[in-house]
Amino acid sequence: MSSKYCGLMLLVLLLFAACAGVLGIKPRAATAFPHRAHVVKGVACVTCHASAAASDMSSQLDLPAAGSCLQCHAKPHDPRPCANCHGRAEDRALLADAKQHLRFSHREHTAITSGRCTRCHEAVVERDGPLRPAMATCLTCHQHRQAWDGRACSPCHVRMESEGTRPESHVVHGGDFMRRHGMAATSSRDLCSSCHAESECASCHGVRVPALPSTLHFDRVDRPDMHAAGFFARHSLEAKLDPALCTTCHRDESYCRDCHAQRGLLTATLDRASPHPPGWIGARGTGSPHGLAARTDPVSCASCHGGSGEALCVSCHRVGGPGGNPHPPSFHSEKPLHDLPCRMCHLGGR
Amino acid sequence: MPASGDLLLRGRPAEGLLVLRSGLRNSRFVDVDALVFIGASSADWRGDVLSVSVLVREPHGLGQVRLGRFIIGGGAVGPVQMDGAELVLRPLPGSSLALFAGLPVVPEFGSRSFDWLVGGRVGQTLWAERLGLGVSYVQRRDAGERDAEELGADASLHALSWLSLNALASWSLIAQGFSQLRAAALANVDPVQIELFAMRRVAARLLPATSLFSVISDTASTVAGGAADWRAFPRLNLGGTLALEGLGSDLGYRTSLRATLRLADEGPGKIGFEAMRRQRGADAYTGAALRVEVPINLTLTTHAIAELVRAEQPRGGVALWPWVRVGASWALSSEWLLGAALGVQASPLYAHDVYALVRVGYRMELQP
Repeated sequence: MSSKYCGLMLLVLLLFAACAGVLGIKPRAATAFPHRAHVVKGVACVTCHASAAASDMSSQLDLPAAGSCLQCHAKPHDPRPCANCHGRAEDRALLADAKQHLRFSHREHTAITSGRCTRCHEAVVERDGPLRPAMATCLTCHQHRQAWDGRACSPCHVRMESEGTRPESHVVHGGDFMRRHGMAATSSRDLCSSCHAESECASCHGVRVPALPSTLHFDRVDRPDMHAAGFFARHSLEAKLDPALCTTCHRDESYCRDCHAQRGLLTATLDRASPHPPGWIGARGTGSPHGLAARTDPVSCASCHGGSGEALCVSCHRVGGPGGNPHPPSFHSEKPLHDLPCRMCHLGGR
Repeated sequence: MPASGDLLLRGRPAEGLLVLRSGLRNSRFVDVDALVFIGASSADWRGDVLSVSVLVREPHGLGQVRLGRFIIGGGAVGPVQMDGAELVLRPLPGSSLALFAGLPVVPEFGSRSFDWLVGGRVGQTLWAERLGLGVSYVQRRDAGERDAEELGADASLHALSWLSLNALASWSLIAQGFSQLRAAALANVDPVQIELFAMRRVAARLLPATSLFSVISDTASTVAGGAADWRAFPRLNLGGTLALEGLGSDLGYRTSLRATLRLADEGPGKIGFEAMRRQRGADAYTGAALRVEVPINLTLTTHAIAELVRAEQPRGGVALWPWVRVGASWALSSEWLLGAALGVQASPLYAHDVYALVRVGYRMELQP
């Protein structure tokens, strides 16, 4: 029994080891450049990044030339270029990306900081690898803070849309952000508009959209979307399970009816009999199912009986009519009786 | 000034769609934004302007004016698409006063009844923008009658670097009751993110007050639950959601379990799986979805989504709704994008449906 248990454990361990690379826990061949070790040794930044102090060009990466390392490391342990192992290719790609998207002059900044690189690259004493300062660091400077307050992004950002990066330093979009993005946008609209164009809201929240975002951007399979994948098949079920969810955005009661009409799916156009089960209407006082359904899911009723179809309801539920009072016990409305929909039943304002 | 065009073609039924987008952003004084589309099928065609707006700002951030067609979020009330104007003033540090007025948009270029919408929001942030408070108001008219009039309040609190709280409430001044109440708390302690949320909404109060169906119910839909996301390994995220749902006296629940495995430390490439179940009364469904994105090289990426839902029909029996789409995208250059996909689905609407999608995208930089 114990040998079986040990065998199972061994199998799990082997499986874990085999998956280590897939799960991202296997150490990489190349390691992050040991910036911290160099700082501890007292090597000044400009000893290696010699061109940085005079650099004005966005295209200039200011990475050390191969010879820089050999000035100190006279006897390298490997004849191949140092950058093959010391420093990662993806870190250099990140640097190139930053240079491409930001208007930045090291020369101007070193003059302001009196040559102290750690004023911005503060992480150098804590960790290795890329040391691009967080945007929050930029905003500690009065000039950049003023630009932020004035919503002036272009002095620093070349074109924010093309950066395609989420500003995780000051906004968290993780988890199920789709659910709470409305609340976040309510109180932080200016912050959202720092990155997102107006038309991005309209792509989903427009009265009509060109196509479901999940269809138009069909290559972005994990894009958060209320209506992704098989939603079309189950939308009537979703609406039934939580009628108020749809109404939060689709506030026009004719939305369902118009869409169904366009697709020839209204009962009348399908030449079908009533979709309701027998006894749906029922006699007054018998707890008829249609009344309960209308109270819990008025949107479903409106999807067929909205607009001119309301006359069907009013034929019974009018003052003095056989249907009786359709209002809930707590009903209260500030609308005058001569306004719609009151006047449909309360004829003459009674 | 970036501009883009996307041509989407769908076979069976044959449909074509052209989406054009352009805009000038991040200028010190002016933002311009435009998104239009035109679509055609063998039966008809339609087009619309989704957004055409010009925003002029005071360079020190004291105020801005937006004109055109855009989405307005009147604080707790919204979002609404309208043709109109919005004025935002920031007279004191952290304060904002937004006023807007316009005509709610009706689809396409159709004639409209006499509609208008006015509203605004007063907001104030405190404690280095950690606390935000706002009060909003919106009124919408249809043919001269109020079809919506709501008062809203919203609050956000970033109490700690890892904890944020949001809440909003909308009160219908016509129905004299809350149309919606929402609150969420998010704790983000790497590698775990936990969210608690609660919502209470009344569908009838969210409908236009000119609709007959707005006066027959005040039954609230209530949802309360939590979601968690755990970065179990550098490339593997596990998560789940569990929420209790009530509609009147009917109780139900929804739950989902998610796993996402990224195929590389950075960049595209991932496999995602989700299992879900939702039930209230006799209405219920159980489903599973698989999402796969595999980059072949720097320019070519393949992708697939498959979803299978088993719906339990209230009148007995079950229905299986499979949905599958596989495709590939190719970045021909920095300007041209090409994508194609093949989809298969079966649902109550379509006994079965097979369709193809082709997208041609073009991105360019216009010199203003």
